[in-house]
Amino acid sequence: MKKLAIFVSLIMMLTLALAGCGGGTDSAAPADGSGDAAATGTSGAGAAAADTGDAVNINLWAGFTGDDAKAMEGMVANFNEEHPDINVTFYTAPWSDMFTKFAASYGTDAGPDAIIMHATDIPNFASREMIAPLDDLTEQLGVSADDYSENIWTGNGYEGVQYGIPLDYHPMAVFKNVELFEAAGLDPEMTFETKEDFLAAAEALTNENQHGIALGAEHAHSMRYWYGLLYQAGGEFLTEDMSASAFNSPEGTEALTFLSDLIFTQKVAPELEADIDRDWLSGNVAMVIEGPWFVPTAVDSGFEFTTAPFPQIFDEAAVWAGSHTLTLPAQSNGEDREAAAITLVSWIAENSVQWGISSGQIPASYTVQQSEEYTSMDNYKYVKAFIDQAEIVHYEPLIPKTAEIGADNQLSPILNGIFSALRGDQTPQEALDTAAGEVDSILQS
Amino acid sequence: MMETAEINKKKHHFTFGKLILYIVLIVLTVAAFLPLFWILSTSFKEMQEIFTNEIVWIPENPTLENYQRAFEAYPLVEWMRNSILVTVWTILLSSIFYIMPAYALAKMEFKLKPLLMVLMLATIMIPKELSAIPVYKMVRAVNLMDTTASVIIPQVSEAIGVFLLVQFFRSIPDELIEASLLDGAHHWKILWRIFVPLSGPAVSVMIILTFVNSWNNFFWPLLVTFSEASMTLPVGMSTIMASYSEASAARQYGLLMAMSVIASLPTVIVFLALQNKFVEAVTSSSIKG
Amino acid sequence: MGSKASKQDIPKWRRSTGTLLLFILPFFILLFVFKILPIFLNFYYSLFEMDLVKTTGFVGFENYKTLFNDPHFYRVIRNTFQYLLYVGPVNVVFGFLLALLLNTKLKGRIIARTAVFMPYVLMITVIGIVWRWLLDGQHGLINQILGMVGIGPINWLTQESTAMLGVAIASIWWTIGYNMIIYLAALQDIPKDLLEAASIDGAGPLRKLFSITIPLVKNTTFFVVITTVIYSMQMFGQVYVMTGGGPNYSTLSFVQYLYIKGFREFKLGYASTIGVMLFLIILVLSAIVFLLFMDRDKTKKLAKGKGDE
Repeated sequence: MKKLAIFVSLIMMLTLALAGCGGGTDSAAPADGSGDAAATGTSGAGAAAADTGDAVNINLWAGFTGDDAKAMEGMVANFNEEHPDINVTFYTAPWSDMFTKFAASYGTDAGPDAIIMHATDIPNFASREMIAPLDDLTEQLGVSADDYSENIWTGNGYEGVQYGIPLDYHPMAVFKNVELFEAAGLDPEMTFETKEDFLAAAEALTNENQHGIALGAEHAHSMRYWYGLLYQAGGEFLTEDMSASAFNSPEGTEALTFLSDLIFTQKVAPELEADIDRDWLSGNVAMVIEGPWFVPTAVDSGFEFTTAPFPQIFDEAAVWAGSHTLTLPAQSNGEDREAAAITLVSWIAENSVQWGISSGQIPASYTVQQSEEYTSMDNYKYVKAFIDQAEIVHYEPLIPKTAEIGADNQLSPILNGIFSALRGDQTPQEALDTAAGEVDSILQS
Repeated sequence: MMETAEINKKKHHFTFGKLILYIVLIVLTVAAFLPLFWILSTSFKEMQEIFTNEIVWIPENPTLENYQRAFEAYPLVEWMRNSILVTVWTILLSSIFYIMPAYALAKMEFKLKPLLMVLMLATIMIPKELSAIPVYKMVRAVNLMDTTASVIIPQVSEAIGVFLLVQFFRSIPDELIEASLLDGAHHWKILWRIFVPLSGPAVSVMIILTFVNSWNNFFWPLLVTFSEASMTLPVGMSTIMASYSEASAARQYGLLMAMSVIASLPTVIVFLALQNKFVEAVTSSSIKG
Repeated sequence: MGSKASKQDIPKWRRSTGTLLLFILPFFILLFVFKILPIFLNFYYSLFEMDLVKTTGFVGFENYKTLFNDPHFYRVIRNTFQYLLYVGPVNVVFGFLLALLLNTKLKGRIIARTAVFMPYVLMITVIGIVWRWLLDGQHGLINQILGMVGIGPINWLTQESTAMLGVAIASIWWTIGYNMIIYLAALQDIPKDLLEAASIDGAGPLRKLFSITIPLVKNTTFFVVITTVIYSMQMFGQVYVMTGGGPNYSTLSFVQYLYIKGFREFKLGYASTIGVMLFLIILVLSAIVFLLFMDRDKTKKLAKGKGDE
């Protein structure tokens, strides 16, 4: 008992000590209500602004990880510096986590005042009345539809109502390891215009130490690759009225067969691959197909690489893409916070060049995309391959149910169908047929 | 295999059988210990050494980099602070809230007593997850989302703690109460001045159980915490792994092992220091299964 | 100690209502609000279509109908029982054997006890993270050790056939010490003279094991079995961290499914329905275990009149 008493008092002292230093390191916005002496200090956002008490505290939430998270942290820090009257706390977690927490916080004032999500998430939250229509706010936000490619702008709405301001868009491109390309006698600047081009390169890049390309066996990207190829083959993901699946068509099967053949027939991609990025960064594979967010990581890795647009395998030109979008929650946290949130969103949209440069993502705004500052940046040569694909991007369906069937949901029947085909557990046809049945029942429920 | 070993041991007292038992013992100890050692070893390794194809037991160039990065890249201090806050408060509140009814249930008579005992027993058997959704809605309704309070308060309702104390209090003679009452003391005073000091072993067992449960609690805090203001260590660490399909963050094993070591230190230290109490705590929670 | 006071006449001090309320109420209010009420609420919620933000309306047993037509639901049940099948027997049998081993007078058994029991105090997130690393297909320790004896490499967590096994191995490492400790306590309660007497009567060690030790720890076995069953049904943290339910739903667990439906897809009514089913399944399983042990328990009590407590 005595030992225990000593232990408990030790812990109490430790608590006090920690509470002390927690408050000391950075006295950022106390996320209200925690009620304890240990007011929270939020990491990262680096809100240096001393709490004068006048500043409006607002929260910006996103599902960024890695370089994206760092880039947005940097932007928020700049915003805070420019706006002494507003103090933004930036919070980020993996997407599904963030949405869980967004829902949890909904109705309390601890939640976000602005949220960055994917365009495909808009229908889900719009239909649940959790995010606000922006039609009346566009002017106040200082954005106009003319500044964006039409399919990107309209892709940020639901049932004809605008819910999001496009921040960026992100198709996929091939990252090539220059050293391995040269060793295989290939031109590192090459692009992949036909199926034969691509297969020849992948085969040349495969030897006993390495594979030509990473495909993954449990990575959501596998579905994104297939999604692009589905449209290249002339297929459709859902029927036109979005009420049923259409992907277990000959085109869908052809697309998936192409991928699984890379693993099992041509053997140019590793089996049961756990981590496509690590495999590429460690030279186990010569090519990986990634999004623009991967550019900073690839640059940091130190070795030489080039990018090329998503391989053209079938007849049509198509590539999967997503888009980050700025939204506002439907609930009000008071006028001051709303006004501050609008200031923040319009500032981020206006300054998205910063975002483009530090995160690698392609700014959605034409003005920003064509600005001198953007085109002259160091990484422009890498992101060019992504920008060139702007006109051929295909989003996942803009319906609420995409939350259940899209690549971001680990229970998605298609995601799992594609994994089992790429693991060799099912034939592509079987996998897609099973998935189609499940998707239909989700869409009908 | 072990049974036969047992037989051999009994037959010829010293020899072959005992040797086998020792071998089994050593193998088991090593097998149980190896993962722990591997965590520690990985946490001091550099990246290249982690992803080699040979087993490197002891890092060649031990580095503290992983530990440093753990504190830099993630709000480990905040998570730790929240975890400690939650645990200390849960222990304090549990001590008060469990000790009082235990006294009444052990020493007083009232009509509803059997019913209350059965209700308590029932709540032990019922899975925690079942109450998660309703309690989640309650926490939202009273606007306590994302506070340490919302993590702490629902945890102070574990009937097992009360049961433990009831068992012990029953063994304290009534004469003590009667004598004190004659001296004019109130039950309140008797409880805190006489019973609690006498119940050191039982109370410490209860505290240890509460400590481990609270420190390691995962499902509930996962639901109600979402920022550094309230996220506890288990939840915080799981956020790194939740992005499992976007695998890279989840594969910085050196970093993750360093964080695991840090997160486990408190329980491991308490465990090693109070091992016998721990064993007692666990076994006494099993009585009356 | 004078263990029990006589109960013939109840002294007045045992009935002081004011004190009673003061002592009883605080805890039982919490117990009611956080444990008892939610069970009923959970049933109630399962009859609604309910969002986190709004409740759409009363739907009767519609959620149950959907659930019974939900292929994931059956998958989840299958997975959970598969997990129970992997973890249960090992935990009970080896937990007991370990306790037997550590109940001998071997040197170093305290160290062994520490090593086996220690993982139990680690948090589940740590267990998950650590075992993801140990079971890594390419660089994991387990595969490297298996590689030395010519097995593998096995992609433990990335293929359907072994993913649940991988999760089970981690869980066994985590919890077997708990069962061992409980058995150890039970073994230490067995009167030495009973065993000695049997030895004198010429009973061999095996005979003693089966006719004295095992029957005497029956209550403990009951406890161990029932907690193993209940905890297996509630398995969550391991898969949340190690596999996320994949590959291809092969490790999707009950609680995780509840979590995903309720807190990822925001279908609280449906998640409550899953909760109700979980509750019913645990109830039935507990009843089965109870019945299995009841029968022989009675005969044993007649013979010995002694439990393990």
